[in-house]
Amino acid sequence: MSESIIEARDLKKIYRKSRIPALDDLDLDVRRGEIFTLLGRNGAGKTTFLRIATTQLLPNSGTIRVFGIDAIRDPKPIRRRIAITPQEGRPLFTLNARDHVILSLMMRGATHEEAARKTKRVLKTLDLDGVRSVHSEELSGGLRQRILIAMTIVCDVELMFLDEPTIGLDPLGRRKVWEELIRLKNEEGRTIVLTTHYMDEAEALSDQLAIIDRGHVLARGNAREVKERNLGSRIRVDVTQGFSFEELESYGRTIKAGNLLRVFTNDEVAQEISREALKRRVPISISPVTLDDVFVELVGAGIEEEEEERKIEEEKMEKGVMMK
Amino acid sequence: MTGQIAARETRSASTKRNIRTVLSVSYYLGILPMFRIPALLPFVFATPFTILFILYVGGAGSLLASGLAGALTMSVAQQGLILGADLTGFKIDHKFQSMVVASPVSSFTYMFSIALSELTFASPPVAVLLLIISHSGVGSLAILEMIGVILLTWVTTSSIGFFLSTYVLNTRTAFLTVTFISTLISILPPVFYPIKILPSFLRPIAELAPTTQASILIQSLSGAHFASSQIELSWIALPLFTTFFLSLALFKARWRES
Repeated sequence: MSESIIEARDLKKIYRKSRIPALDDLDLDVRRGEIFTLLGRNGAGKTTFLRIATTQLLPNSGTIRVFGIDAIRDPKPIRRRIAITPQEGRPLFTLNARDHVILSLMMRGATHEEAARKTKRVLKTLDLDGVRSVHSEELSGGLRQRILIAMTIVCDVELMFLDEPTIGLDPLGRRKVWEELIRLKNEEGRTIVLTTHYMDEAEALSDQLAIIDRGHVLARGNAREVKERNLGSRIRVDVTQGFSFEELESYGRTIKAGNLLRVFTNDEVAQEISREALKRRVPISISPVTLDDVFVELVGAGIEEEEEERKIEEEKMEKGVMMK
Repeated sequence: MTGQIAARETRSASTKRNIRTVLSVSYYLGILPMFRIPALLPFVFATPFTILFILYVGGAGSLLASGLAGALTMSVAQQGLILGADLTGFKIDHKFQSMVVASPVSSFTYMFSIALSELTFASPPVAVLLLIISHSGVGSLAILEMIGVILLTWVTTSSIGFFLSTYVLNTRTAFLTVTFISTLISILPPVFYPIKILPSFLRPIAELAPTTQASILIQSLSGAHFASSQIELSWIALPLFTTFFLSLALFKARWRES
């Protein structure tokens, strides 16, 4: 097993003016040379973790070591070896794509010649070559996002952090970025930590991933392991007509989303449902379970718990008001 | 190679890197925007030259010397303080500061680089004002001393701007705060007018503004008469203000958030 490049233990962060921890005794390991993805809904703690790991933010307690160095006490040696694309960043309006990438490199000590050479290559890789001299304010959101990604991946660092990097990119743009991240990992041995809401992205890119919610890790492993460990089923059957919810529940765990009924089950039962559907002449769709299903299953439970807690709190408050 | 070994950087490599950081940041964030959008320049001239014009017309020329000293001080101070608003924008809206913190660039190098880019913006009005002052018969040694005063004012106000930017939480508040402080230290105290006009009980309060000290020094270098004790006090006070605010920026600014 390769060495850990990030080791977080019992990491806790509670922001001022907030009672709820953004990170709640979080344990996480990222190994050298892998693409590690953090999945979670908004406010799950993904960005907080990235900000702590990139030495921008201090936790309340716990430890975090990056390259084996204490990131809380000794951030300087870490900073030379990392780069980040922050979430919802915006390029500077007076500069064009080329300026941004050159600035990113020269700021870190590259000569202008070296920066210009590397910039040329990365702009071509991310299809920014055609707009290299256009002021960023005149570019679309997707192209601006690509500039921010280019500013990070062009840096000659061992560890890169990308906070929701492909948000706002079109499908082709996303794939371009995916290809480049995989190339950086395979050919240059870079370690990449990214956060995303896109399950297909996590599945396509990640060597390891963690689903986090309310500052806790709910699941970790590679995509296959996470699916197997947390759903217990390998197959899902989607039905939109001809079956009732109660009827499908007898085949396995069933969820309802709009008109869609989804049963999580195994190969044999899926074949049984399929035969029944043929008899009834109704269409069904059988496919392997996805990370999306695991995410909904794990995080959905959290949301239900939250709802319960909220209701209890509200009831307590109502009782308190009535007592008064 | 272990992390610890790879993390070391020689002093000369670090110096070279810092020089490149300062040059690239000040070029891309200061010089380049000024040439690309020259329409920004009138904003730099607007306030100091408007006040100078009013003083010139209203005082029938009698307040020209102090007006020139005030305009010179304000041109630099205003741009130093604007650094605070610009940095807040880079931090909140652009998230550029996130990229910088997670890089080898230190808070001091970043502040100095951006301050240099702001000085670039301040340089056209400063050059015009120094030209006018030198044409009024002020010697080249005095002009050099004035440049020294300008540099101290630049470091002081840039430090104030940087310190503020690390605490302010949104760009709008940053601009309002900077405008307020600029008025408070560049217009209200005796920057554009001689300190002797002020009632004596207000003078000690006025002297708490670093810009007051800068203006007194520039006025005296332009030929205005002050008591020698006053000049000595200003030559001591201004560097002290610079040291204090620079220390505040270096040691108390919130570079890494808690």
